[in-house]
Amino acid sequence: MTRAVIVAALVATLAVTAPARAQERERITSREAYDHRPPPDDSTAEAARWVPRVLLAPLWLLASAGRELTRLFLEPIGPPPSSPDAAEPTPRPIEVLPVVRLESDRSPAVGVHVALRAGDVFTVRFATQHWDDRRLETWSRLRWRPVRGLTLGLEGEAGTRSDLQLHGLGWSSAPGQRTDYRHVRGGGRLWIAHRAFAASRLALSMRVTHHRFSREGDNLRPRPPAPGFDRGATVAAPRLAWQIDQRDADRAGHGGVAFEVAVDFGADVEGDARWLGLRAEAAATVAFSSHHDVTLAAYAALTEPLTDAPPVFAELPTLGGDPGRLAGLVRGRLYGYSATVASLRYRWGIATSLDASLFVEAGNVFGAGFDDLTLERARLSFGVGLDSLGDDVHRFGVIAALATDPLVDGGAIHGGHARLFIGRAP
Amino acid sequence: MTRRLPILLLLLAGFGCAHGNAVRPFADAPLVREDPDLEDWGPRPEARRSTSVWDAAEGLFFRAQLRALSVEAPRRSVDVNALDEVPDSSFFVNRIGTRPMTPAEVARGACPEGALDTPPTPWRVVDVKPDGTQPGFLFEDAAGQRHLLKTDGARQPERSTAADAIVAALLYAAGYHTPCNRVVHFRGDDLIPTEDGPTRARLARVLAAATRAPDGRLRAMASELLHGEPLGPWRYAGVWEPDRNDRVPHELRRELRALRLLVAWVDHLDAREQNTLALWIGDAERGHVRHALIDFGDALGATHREERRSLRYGAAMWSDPTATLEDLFTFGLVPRPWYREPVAVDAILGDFATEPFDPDGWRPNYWNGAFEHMDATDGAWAARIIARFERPHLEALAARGRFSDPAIARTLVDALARRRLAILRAHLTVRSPLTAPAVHDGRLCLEDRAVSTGFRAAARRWDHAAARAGIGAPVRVARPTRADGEVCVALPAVRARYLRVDVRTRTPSLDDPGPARVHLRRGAEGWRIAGLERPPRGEAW
Repeated sequence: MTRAVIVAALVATLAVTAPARAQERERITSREAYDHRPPPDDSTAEAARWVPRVLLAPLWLLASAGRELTRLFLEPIGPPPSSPDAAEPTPRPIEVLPVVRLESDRSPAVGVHVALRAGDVFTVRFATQHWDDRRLETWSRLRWRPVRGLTLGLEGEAGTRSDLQLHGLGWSSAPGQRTDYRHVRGGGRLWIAHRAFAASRLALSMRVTHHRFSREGDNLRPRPPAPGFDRGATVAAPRLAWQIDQRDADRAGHGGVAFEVAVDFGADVEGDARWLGLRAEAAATVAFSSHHDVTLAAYAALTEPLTDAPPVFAELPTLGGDPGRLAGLVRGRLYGYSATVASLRYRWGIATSLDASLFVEAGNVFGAGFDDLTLERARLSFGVGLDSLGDDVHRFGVIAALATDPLVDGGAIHGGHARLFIGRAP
Repeated sequence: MTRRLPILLLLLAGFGCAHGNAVRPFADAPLVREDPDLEDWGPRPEARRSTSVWDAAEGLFFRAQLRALSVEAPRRSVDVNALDEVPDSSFFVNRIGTRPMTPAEVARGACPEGALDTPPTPWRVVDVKPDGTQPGFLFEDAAGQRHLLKTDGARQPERSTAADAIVAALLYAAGYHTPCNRVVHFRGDDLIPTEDGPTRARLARVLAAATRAPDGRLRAMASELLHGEPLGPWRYAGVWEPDRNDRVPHELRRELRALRLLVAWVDHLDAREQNTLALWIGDAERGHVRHALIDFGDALGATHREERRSLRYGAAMWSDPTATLEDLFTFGLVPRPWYREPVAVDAILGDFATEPFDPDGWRPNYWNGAFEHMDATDGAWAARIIARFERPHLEALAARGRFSDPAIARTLVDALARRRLAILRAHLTVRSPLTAPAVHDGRLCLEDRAVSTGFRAAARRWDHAAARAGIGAPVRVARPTRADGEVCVALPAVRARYLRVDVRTRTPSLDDPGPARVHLRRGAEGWRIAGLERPPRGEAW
């Protein structure tokens, strides 16, 4: 059987290359035509090369087929309008890009992103992802830069998400306590941002979001859902955020410190719930070369109810999904009145526009005012990532991470999260 | 099959051994000085359409991988004559490599004598520039000659126009077909728009990108259109079937493989199909194809607005999947040339003068199909040409750049000299630098290119000669003597009709290349050169 395979591969190789080799007989491939000297004898080495050639023949056939297919598509294309090294990119007033998101424990999402530009002053973007009638996400943004350093924006978002799992509130939430649900939301945000200097950004925004939830499937343990689950909510939330970031955070190899603090006031206009939210994040990056850096970061979030009515759970601090937020957990499963994460990330450049990273994180959600925060109740998360460089709508990213139970419960690896996205960053 | 395999291999080995060390004499034939691809034929073929997108894809993703999977044997250059030199061809003309050239000659490049000034005005703008990185247009000067005009763009003023002029002249002197490129200064009033030319708006955009001199004149590069009927670009690999003369696959042409070192020297990253031009020399019924190189505006230290891309220029190709995967799985711990900290770049020359330069580690934007086949003998051939460019030549070339600040020209000359030295250290020391063999009065003499060009000091050279007559009988031969950059050895008095003489020269502790092995035949007038080869050090007779 092995001999038959080898012989068949050899015959196939010879058959495929015969026309090309026949053509080569018409070409001058020996120096003898120029120096009038017999060529050196290479017959022994040439004979020996046939052994690996036969063994690699299937791979060679596959690669050759790939080459020919690619040539069929690319050869008719004429010269590009400009080189990839063009000094200035050719501005495109209309841009259409695909949007793809594949995520563990979620149905795939494929969509389109459309951008309309008037120079660098005015941009309208629209993106949608739709896989089936159970899921739709639409996002649009209008941005205006009337003067240097000032940006005004209007953003709208609407979507339905199914196959969601709520593991409850607090540090001990676990899949065994989950509620399967569907989340319908819609809303908009109006903001104004000012850059006093390059590394600083002050933003004032007003957000309105409408939430509705419904149970799905057979829950393992039907239990009282989280606050606001049965009734839903319409939230109005003004926010003030201030950010200082010395780093070129989009690429490896740039050191510095970053600090962000945000305060928002939330109100459920359908009910009595009022709350105050605080977010803070600090990060320090040390660059070891133009392509390597290490970042130590800390994140904390707190929601303080101002009335007896608790805020709708979807407005509470949540972890999962992204590096720095316990990436080993799927987004939207852990909620609490407070959350904190410490993370360490090593990032290195692997191509002109691609960075890889390794990260480890520790943190969890907790009760009001971090009142049950202890080190033993932290979860761990660790993983790898790939990120393209560029703005937030021309992106490619891959994350693969694992997370553990709280250390006090044994810290066993329980859960993982993998995500690939193309297009707008999630 | 398994039991017969060792016997089969033994038979093959025996067959190989029977032929492996046989003497390979040069035939008694005239030296090939001109490639047969210069012969006229007809009629003129249709122009070739550019396939530059496919060329890039093949160079980045398929060529190297398929070569590896086919276990391809290394192949020697084909168009190499009995003296280990390249004959004049449609790609190459022997110039500075075989005869000294004055600095003025080198700097003139392909331009007619006395024609380095700005073309006579006014200029009629007759067409747009079809593609490429830099903006420009086609114009006809007052004498009726057409030129392509290109401006610098906002980034690195003066560099692109200077690079086009300097590198075109340098490569022309080296032997390649290039256009007459000149840095010119003009005023907007010198331009006369025409109906066929670009719109006023487009013309204004081109002029807005031009560097402005202190006196208000605009700076640009004017490239005189090459003589001949354009037939489109040519590829660095394969042949072009409609060209009946094109029978040597381009990747087997020494002048194209070794061009790699010349473009590395000037950091011309974009040596690929899109920057070539085939021309029909002749009339519609009869002629031949000439292969020219064009567009050198990316040379001499181009930078990119993205710092990471700039760091990779010359060190990595546009895409290197192998390196990417290696870096991914080794966590970026494998040292890479582009991991260096970016040095303060010069506003005009970028980091051309400061970046580390490794002639063999240098990478173009992608392998074009010929460069990756360069071997030691090809590299040595290019090094012998590069050695002829001494400092006065470099100064004359830098003057073609017409930099507004003389310090920039000095910086450029220093950088070219430093990079030249790196190339000579890497490639002029690998094979014998002895060249141009000649027999005078019973003595065989060769030029020591390393000494005649100032790379090595004659006083520190150590020379040795050995000879074999006929098929291998050793013959005593006197120690070589040296004078005026030449090494000479008295030919022994032997009865044989075929003689091989090894002449070795080296500088102890610096280099130790193999010999120049000169083959001689006895004729009616005495010994004459039959051929020259440059075996590696230690190779048996």
